[in-house]
Amino acid sequence: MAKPNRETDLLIIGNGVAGIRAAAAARREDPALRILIVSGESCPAYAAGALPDYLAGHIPREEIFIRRAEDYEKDGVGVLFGEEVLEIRHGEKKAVTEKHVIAYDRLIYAAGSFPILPRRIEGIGLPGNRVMKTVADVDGLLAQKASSAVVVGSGAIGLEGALALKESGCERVTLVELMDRVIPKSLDRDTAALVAAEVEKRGIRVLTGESVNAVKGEGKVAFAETNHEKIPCDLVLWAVGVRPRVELAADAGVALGETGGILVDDCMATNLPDFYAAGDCTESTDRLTQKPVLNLLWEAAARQGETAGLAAAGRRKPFPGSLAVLLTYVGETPVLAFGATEDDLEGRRYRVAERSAGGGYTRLLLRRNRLVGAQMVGTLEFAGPLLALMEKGAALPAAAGDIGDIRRNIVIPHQLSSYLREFRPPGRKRKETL
Amino acid sequence: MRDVSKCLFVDLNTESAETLSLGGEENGFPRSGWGFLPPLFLCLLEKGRPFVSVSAGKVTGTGAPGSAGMTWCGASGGVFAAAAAEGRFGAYLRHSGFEHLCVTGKAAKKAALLIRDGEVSVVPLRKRREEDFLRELRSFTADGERVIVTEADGALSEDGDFPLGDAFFAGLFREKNLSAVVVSGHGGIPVADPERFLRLCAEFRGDCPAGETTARPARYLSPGGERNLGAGRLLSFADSREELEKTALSLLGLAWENYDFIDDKLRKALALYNAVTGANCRETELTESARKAARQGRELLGKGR
Amino acid sequence: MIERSKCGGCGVCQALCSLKRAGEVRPGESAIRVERYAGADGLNVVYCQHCADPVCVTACLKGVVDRGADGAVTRREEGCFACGACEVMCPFGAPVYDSVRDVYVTCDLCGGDPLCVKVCPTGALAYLEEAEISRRFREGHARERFGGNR
Repeated sequence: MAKPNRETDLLIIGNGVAGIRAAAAARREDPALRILIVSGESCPAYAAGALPDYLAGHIPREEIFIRRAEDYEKDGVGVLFGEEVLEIRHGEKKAVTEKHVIAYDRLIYAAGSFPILPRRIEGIGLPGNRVMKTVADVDGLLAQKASSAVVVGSGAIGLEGALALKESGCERVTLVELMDRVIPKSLDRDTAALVAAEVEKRGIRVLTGESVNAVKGEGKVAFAETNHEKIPCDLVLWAVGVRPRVELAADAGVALGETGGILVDDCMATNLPDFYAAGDCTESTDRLTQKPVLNLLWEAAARQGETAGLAAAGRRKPFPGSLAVLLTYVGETPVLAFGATEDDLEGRRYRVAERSAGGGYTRLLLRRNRLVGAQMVGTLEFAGPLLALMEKGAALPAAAGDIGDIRRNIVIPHQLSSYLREFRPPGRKRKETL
Repeated sequence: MRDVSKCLFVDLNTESAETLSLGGEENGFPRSGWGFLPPLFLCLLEKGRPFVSVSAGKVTGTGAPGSAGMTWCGASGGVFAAAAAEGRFGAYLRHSGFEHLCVTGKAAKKAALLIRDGEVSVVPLRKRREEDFLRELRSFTADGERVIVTEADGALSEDGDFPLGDAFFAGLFREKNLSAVVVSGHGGIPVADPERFLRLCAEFRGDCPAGETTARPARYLSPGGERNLGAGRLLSFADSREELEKTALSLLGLAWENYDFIDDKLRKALALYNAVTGANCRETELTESARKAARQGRELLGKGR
Repeated sequence: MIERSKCGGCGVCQALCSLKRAGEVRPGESAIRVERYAGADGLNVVYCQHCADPVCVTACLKGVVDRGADGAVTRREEGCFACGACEVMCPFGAPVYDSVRDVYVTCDLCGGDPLCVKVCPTGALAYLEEAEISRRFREGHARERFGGNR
């Protein structure tokens, strides 16, 4: 039986933030454009960042959604829910899904990323091994009501997952991190120590320099084996990273970058004409290092989606590159990091300046008087202005009254320069908690 | 609305702090600001205990132009003085939950009094050099929503910028080994009738002088420029119309003494007070309570002789 | 817009804005804030600039921040779950956390009749068309650079 045909001007594969922002931007630009979104998930778009809050019980399930079914209709955007795309025949401008054959003129590929589940680990197939990527994943976690969990990986997902599990009623939660500190990609050792202390205060055991080598159990998860112990648990939550979902695009002839993401120009165009890509599945250029990265963050995906949507509708609005900004919370304590860490700067000269005030810790990394990285725990003071300062590569004022370089249109408010004078290089270590 | 105010009473000898709830009996009678404190002051004077206090009024910190008024009171060696001043100290004392601060006793070593949203502690200071000392003070609280009053070289200053207390009050701090007071406040200051209050504030904007004459940075909530009360103007409590007006304004927490661009001050001040507290006081009640406060002030001044 | 030469940093705008929004004076959670920091170096007034290409719109994890056709950036507070992404990405640090409502707030121009402009004692704040604001900035800058009264 032949599949029914559908036709559209713009086909968007993926219903995450990149996909829906692409649709919104294209619609604003061209009210007459026919737009169709194909989504592998059966529900309207939701805020992935809100999933841990849903898991923890802070917000009800309905509140994570950022679109309702009616919203798509209102914008005149067609959507096929719960349908996987099987093949993209770009030469024919046809996409074959599970249920349809869709003819399109332009395509935006926003298929996102998938969580890594290390295939080689013994016992990985046992029920009780989970990931936290989609709302269905969290529905499953809530249904399981695990009483003892091991969370592997202490990036934002692992950290937030562990905290949320504890709050949702899981009595014993152990966080296992391979590197020597939590959130190793974004935090220096000193900052990470403060964060780990906060996590431990909430009754979560943090193991660093450890890995889960095997999962044991009869018919379901019963133990997680690390280098040193066997931790009894009924849930292993794998939060060891995500990979861009690029198979379909690669099969269609789209070129990939060195990071494994789809190669796009600053308007999200790929090497194939009328084929754009946006979001987690793409490789972008980091605004600060100018190096290719996989920037798996919400804001970049949203902005890229907008760029792709506009490009597909005929308007050029270049994407300025992505910025790696980590923002998460341990309870009420914010943790923020952006720019380079000491590991990133290895082999080059840099200065560290830090400040503790009223329960907040701020750490700045400077190269030749320019801010190249910042980390904060327990405060978000001046976060926005410091980020802007770093983006512009502004030289920090050496003295009061220096307001920066007017030619480059950078003005550093006086109050920021006074604030910066509060910082000191790390001195003798004093045991300090927030 | 009951005219209750909270006083933080700190004894540096015992490093203890107590909250006293004052007032509340008289209905709608505009007694606010330091008007509740004379009995306490008399008691301390009789016991021969030097003290220094700062009081906000009901209008202090509400945002009306010139509403950052506060009143210093203090006594030592039998000499009592009261002065009307202007700055963030009084307002942020209110944000942290108190309308008055009264300190007696003497700290064992040079210390700072830390008031963080109702939590009080006495912290001995470690740093010697002024720069380090200020940085240490700034490190106790997150920036913003905090005031630092320091005693140095015989003067009290606020946030390093503004002279806040004259030599007498600075001397009282020094006597007590009190080098600084840090107030961090995130609570709200209530206003009973915000709409009426905001209308009054917009009206007063018309009275204020136009931009160029403003000193930068200006005193908190003040358009006054050189007309600010600065380090404080002594209240003489004399029985004259002028002094009575000053006493009334200091009770309410308005630093309008030198604002010659506002005429009919008491009527306007009272309008603000009524909008803030929801009371319906008449001008006669205000002048009567100022007279009463002045009488008590004279008694305290007399105690010194 | 704010004419910095007229602003003394008195904070009346901050106190009264918070009063209007919150029903009590809570300056730390006001949509317009005066930042004076450790010394008389100067001061900075922070408020939403209603940027042409707002970062807060894309950064918002719940998509509650929008830019309207009239150019004003608005937010739907019911959807906000106080993640703080807007505060962290905003180059001015304009969004602020309202601890009573547990959401982030920014200047909403009071629906077209901003209170801060009405109460500023020195008249430093003004509510004007974009073109007029640009013109005044350019004029001010030129005056500073080249001197004289134009």
